[in-house]
Amino acid sequence: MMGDLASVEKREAPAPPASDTAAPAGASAPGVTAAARRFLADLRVEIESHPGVNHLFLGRCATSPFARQDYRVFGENHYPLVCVFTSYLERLLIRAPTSDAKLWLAKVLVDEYGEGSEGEDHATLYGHFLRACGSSVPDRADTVKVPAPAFEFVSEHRRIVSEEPFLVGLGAVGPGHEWAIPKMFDAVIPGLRRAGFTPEEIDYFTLHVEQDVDHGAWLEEALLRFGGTDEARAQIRRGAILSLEARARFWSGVQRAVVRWRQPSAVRVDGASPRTIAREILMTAWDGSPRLRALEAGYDSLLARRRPTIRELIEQSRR
Amino acid sequence: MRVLLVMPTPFENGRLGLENVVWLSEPVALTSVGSAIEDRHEVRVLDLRLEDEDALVRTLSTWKPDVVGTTSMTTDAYQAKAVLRTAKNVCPGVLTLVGGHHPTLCPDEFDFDYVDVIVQGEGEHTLREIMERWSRQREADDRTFDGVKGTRWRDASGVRRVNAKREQTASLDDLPIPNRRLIEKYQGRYFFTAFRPMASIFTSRGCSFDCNFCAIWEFYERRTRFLSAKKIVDQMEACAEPFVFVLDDNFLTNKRRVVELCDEMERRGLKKYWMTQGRTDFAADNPELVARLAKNGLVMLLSGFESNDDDNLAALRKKSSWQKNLRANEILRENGVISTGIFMVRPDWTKEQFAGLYEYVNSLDIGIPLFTILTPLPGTQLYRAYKDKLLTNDHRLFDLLHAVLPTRLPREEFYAEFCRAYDATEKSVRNAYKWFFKARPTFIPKNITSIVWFYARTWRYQRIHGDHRSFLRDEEGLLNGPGAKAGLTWEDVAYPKGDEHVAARADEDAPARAGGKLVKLRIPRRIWADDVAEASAGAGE
Ligand code: B12
Ligand code: SF4
Ligand SMILES: [Fe+2]
Repeated sequence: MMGDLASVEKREAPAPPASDTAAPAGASAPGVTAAARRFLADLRVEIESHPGVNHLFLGRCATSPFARQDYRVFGENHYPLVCVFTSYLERLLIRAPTSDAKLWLAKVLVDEYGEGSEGEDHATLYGHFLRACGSSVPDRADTVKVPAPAFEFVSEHRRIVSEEPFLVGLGAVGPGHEWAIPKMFDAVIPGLRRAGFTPEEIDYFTLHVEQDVDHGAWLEEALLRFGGTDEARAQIRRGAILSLEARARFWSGVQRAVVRWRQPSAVRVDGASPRTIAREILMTAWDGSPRLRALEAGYDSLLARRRPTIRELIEQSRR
Repeated sequence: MRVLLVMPTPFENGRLGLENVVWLSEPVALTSVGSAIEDRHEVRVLDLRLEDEDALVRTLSTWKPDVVGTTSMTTDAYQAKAVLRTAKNVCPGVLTLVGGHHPTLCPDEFDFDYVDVIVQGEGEHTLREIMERWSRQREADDRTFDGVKGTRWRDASGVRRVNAKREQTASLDDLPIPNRRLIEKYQGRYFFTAFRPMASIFTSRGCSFDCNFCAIWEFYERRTRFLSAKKIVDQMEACAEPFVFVLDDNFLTNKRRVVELCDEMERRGLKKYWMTQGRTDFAADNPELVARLAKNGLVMLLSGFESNDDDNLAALRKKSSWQKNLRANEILRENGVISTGIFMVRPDWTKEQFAGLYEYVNSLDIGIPLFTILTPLPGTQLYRAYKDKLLTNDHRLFDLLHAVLPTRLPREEFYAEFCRAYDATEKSVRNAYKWFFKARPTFIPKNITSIVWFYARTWRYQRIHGDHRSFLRDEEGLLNGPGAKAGLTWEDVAYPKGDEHVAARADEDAPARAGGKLVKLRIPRRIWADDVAEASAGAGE
């Protein structure tokens, strides 16, 4: 979630495009602007109260004394997202329907590449954090496979920015990230501090809370212009929600990883729907059979083999 | 107003806890307090142990409650806080409350801006008053709760104010009966081992003993109150479930009331299987009463056997003996009552002591032996004695399955010994089944699906519990308590040795009937309520 339009320092908002093919028609009409404003206010509430942003795992980071070891697992799962965030913007840049839109995205990108953070791009910043957790993953990006939750998240975002309409993509990387991140990191940061990380080690996180709060204003400005029609608004909203649904699944996956490094054969969570006795027995029989377990492990490692390494993921996203 | 009462998960989702396999109890704390305000407010109970991960946020954002309350034991404390923090994030105007054992005994741990009111002690009347006030004050967003006894609230400047203690309701009959319809959605999913579907009720509160590892008598300020026999049987009859768990910590304590209850059950011909918790000495001393209870449906009794050694029992102030344990167990199995025995291993144990315990359990033929590790739970007398010796402050490790004090054996060996408990006592379980089958020949065939269900789950649990490395990983990076910082070893911790009675004899309030065996640890006997009285005098109401 590197940058997430976030790394832009507080400065003047890049001018949003004056017009766009689907979106800003009639944006200047006062009625539409009021509708757009209402839409944005509602969207912000919807995003800020979404399960992806308020995932209980994040709340648990705020309240539980997770150790550095737990944050290492957290970080290793999160890192690939950070490494490829710019690629979504780059993809959208190519697809942007007007040069105004291109200009706007390009400016954001410049910051993502490191202009707003003393020349260090956000993946590099995250690398410092990972090393502080005792992880060598940033140094082994050539060989480490992307964990499943991260791969799913990245794949979904790639799909959104390349296959969905432009405004859906914008909804995902714009409000779907920008408005979500300060709230999410707000929960993680107290946990990191409790675990004893120094302020420098967790720069990546604090930077994003500070910057993203500043960015709200200009992103809103841009979205107001884009969100001129019902259709455009629906597309922006859809993008944001798609992104957050992926985010919720991602945090569930990270939590599972954090639990499983301590308890590798952790219990299977019951969840909302009760299991039948037959299923319960089948599960146990499955877990109890060395052959079936070997089969499952084989299948898992096959899936893992098919996932790219972090380096490959980064290279794929450059293409 | 809309009131959402949330039962938190005890740990991060997917992490092993008792509630996964052994005992998933109804959230009776929440149905109890919910029933006290139901006449005027819309109440929902959300049991996160039986929901998907996103259920809380979805309920908050769609139902938009005005009040969110949660409950907490020691292990749940972080999860309870996460619930309230999330509630404030999603519904910023909401009033947040926490109650239960841990907030009562350790209120300071909940002193965060996302916790508006900490409820201490019994919650029914307190919640009623909070709701009355909030109904009037909400419009002005006035979160002042001065005068509401049993609360700690945050004033506008963020200072936590302490109100006077809430007195306990004199008669439990005066409290509303918990409305189990509030958890209708989860019906059929609660269980104790193979006893399911199961309902949960309470018939008394408090305990008149004062074991030094137990929080119950402290929570209830050394008082015990009982529900009348009629109300108890009314409740049992109203349950659709075939099994009822009576949650009292010490059901077997007042002979007269037990007799009255049996009379009532017999008069009304109650047809329920039920389970409860009670002391072995009572069972040992009252065989005819146990037989009567068994005839009236008692199928399982959970007791703190704690130890196979009188000195150890004495050190815990258990005021019982291993002979009583032995005798109680005989009486129970003869009457077809499965005995669930909780045993407490001590961090200073040697391999021989572990072996001795397992041998003892096998000699008892206990149906469901459960093994725990001596843990000074916050709020107990033991905690006061050992709080500076703890290796960790992480409450998740206070689940009685982790050694929070230094062990004598290297930790790996200690956990290896602890983990083999269930394999080592298989014989006891097998024999207990035989006894049970003899006494109640139709029970097992009739409940075979639930028994299979339980064993299916237990087997998976065993994969974790049987792996001692999993315990070591559980605590990796988390041994950061004062004892760990000071580098204490087991020798630095003066564990209760059992020879304190020598000193205690001289102690003027050593119990007269101690007979040299029953001793008291020399630890302060203040309880939380004494501190509240003091604090409220300072802070005013
Ligand atoms: C059932 C039970 C369990 C169940 C589930 C708990 C549940 N709540 O569903 C299980 C088996 C999972 C369990 C586990 C443990 N338990 Co337990 N458990 C109980 C038991 C027997 C009954 C709980 C109950 O429903 N009581 C009935 C209700 C009505 O009483 P109450 O909870 O106190 O609620 C009243 C007030 O506290 C207050 N209140 C409570 N919550 C709220 C919320 C609001 C908003 C308000 C306003 C008021 C309020 O109002 C209520 C009505 O007056 C209690 C003993 C007891 N009698 O309470 C022990 C008890 C709570 N458990 C205890 C312990 C030690 C454990 C553990 C072994 C270890 C631990 N550290 O917590 C864990 C293991 C953790 C794990 N998950 O692995 C201790 C708690 C000590 C402590 N300091 O927290 C108790 C008190 C037993 C004892 N003898 O000491 N437990
Ligand atoms: S352990 Fe049992 S007998 Fe002892 S104080 Fe607690 S409830 Fe009472
Ligand atoms: Fe970034």
